[in-house]
Amino acid sequence: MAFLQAQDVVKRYGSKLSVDHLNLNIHEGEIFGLLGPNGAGKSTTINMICGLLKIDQGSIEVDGLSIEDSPLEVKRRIGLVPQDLALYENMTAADNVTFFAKLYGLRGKLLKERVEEALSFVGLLDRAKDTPSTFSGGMKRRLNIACAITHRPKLIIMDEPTVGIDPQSRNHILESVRKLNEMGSTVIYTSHYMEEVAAISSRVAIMDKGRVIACGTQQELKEQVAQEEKILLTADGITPDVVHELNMHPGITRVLHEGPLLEIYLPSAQNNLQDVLFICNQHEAVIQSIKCEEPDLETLFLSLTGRTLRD
Amino acid sequence: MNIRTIAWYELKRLSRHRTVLFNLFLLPMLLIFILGTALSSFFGAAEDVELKPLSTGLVISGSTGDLPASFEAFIENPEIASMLNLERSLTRAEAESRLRSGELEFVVVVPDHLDDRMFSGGSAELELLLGKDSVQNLVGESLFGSYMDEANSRQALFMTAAAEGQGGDSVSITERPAYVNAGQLGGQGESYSAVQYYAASMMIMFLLNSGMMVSSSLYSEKEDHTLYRLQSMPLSGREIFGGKILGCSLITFAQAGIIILGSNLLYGVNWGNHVWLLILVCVLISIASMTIAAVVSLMTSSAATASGIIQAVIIAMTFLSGGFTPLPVDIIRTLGEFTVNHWALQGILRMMLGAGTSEVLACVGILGAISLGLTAAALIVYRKVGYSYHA
Repeated sequence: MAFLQAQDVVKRYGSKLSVDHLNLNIHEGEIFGLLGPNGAGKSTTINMICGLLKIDQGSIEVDGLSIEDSPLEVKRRIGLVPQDLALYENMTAADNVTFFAKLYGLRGKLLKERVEEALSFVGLLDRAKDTPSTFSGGMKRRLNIACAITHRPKLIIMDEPTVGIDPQSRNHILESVRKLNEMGSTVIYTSHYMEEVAAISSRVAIMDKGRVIACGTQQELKEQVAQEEKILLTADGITPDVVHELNMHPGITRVLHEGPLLEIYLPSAQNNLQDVLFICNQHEAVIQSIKCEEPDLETLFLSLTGRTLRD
Repeated sequence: MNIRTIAWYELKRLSRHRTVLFNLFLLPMLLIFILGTALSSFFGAAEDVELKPLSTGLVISGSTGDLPASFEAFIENPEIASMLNLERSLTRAEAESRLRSGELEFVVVVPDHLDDRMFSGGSAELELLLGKDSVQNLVGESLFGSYMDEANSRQALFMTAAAEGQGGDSVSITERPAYVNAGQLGGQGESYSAVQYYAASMMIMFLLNSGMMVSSSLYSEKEDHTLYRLQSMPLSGREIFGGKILGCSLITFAQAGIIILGSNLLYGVNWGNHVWLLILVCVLISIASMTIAAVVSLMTSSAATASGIIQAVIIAMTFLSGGFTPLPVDIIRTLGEFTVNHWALQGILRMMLGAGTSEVLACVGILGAISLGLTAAALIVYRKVGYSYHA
């Protein structure tokens, strides 16, 4: 049985359908990526899982408990890292973490240990007595995570946790997500950054306009559409004859030519690369660089919706 | 348990704002000092007014020229006599002339048939001519007005008794040992000073104002997205809301304690001997303050709007209740009776004057009823609107 099960979930705001008959199964111990552009319904879905929004139709169960019937029990199992920083700017980092930990019922020695553990985990133990107002954006994001993990939740939900931070902090956060998962937490990671989701998720659901339009492992998703691979080739001396001969090749779908750049679309780059190089050589085109690209989640989304994730 | 945690951290956060601490604890002390010093002349206890004997001319109108017996007895009463410097048997013209020149301060024209008129069931009427000194005029009007009031009331009693067949004579007003009792406002023989008045009124205003903390806190939890996190935790909405109200209430109690102790130590303000009633009044004001702020905050859409409305309500209530300065206009005083400040102020002033418990309780009871009503309103609004990040 799935650790989190959403069945036919619907959420409306007035006449607008924000989540449209959503079905999700998330397994215990996986990092599940929820990918979609802004307004796709990711945050609304998260809010319903956390009991922050009422479900209009359908049901959500976490660890076998219904969020509607046992909201407090479900919330006890969840650690939410909100998209917006949710910190008290005039309280120290330690006070922030301690406050939220106490509300999860931690007390005494255990509380102290867990607070230190959480701050240490996000690399802020040496700044425990400083207030967030003195922190960089990345440090605030890390403290935002620390506040959600002191009670060692079974399910950690990270809603766009890397918005607006530097690459170093982003890497630190992604590494933290992996570690938390290794420590036994199931993670739901939402983002509209395809690279992040692709880098850490074992399975991915792509949402658009309130619906899950694709779900599975990355390999399964790529296989869901007959997506072509691409060879990007830069060469001097590309003549119309080169382009014509490439276009006539049975293993090549189409060729785009612009100056020294050739974009060659084909079902398998690996099987046809040798032929491409031979044709170029035959027409004395001098190759400067060559790159093979497989379809990624971004192109998958593009092919499914006709839009990019950042539209 | 969660309510206590939220309340404790609310206290922690508030105690780290220097401006909040200044507004809560130093500003009221400063205002009490400034208003109490600047407006002390408006209050009775600033300095006792020494009344000098009223230089009074007596004019007897009528044919006999004799002073009626009842009036004679009245002015010979030792306490009345000590307050008058009488010049008898003046003609009206002479009396008016001396009144104009300032030689006399007050003139009483007594009809010689006054007693006959009273025995025949008529009312006692004196003609009073006022002089130039308003204070002395007030003394004269009070003295001779009290004679007429007393004579008429006894006459009425006599007439009623006669009509019912009980018989009896017209009662001489001279039977009363004294017409003027030099009294004191409070049982302890003190009236309140300007500093006392403003200590009470400013404390009430600032306690009500502390509801602003609730409003600001409720909104900042939304604006800082911490409410979002709190609502994702195993807490009920009531715990979050109740914890915040409790935290702000504790600050308000501390504020009341500091104003009471500070004004007592620094300015010598005597808050009376009803310690528990004083605490009860402070608790009731805090309840009123928190509930007004909660209702407004739950029903408005922005912190600025809520703050503006709460400030306006508090200032209006303070003004109507005479918190800034005692108001002479009757209609405003009547409106003031519908405010929290009025009943709190009256209750505290009575405590300061050493009034009995029942007198103080009368005000505290009404204050309690108002607080109860406001609490009911807050509960209804909370149930209808709720306190939620997504509301």
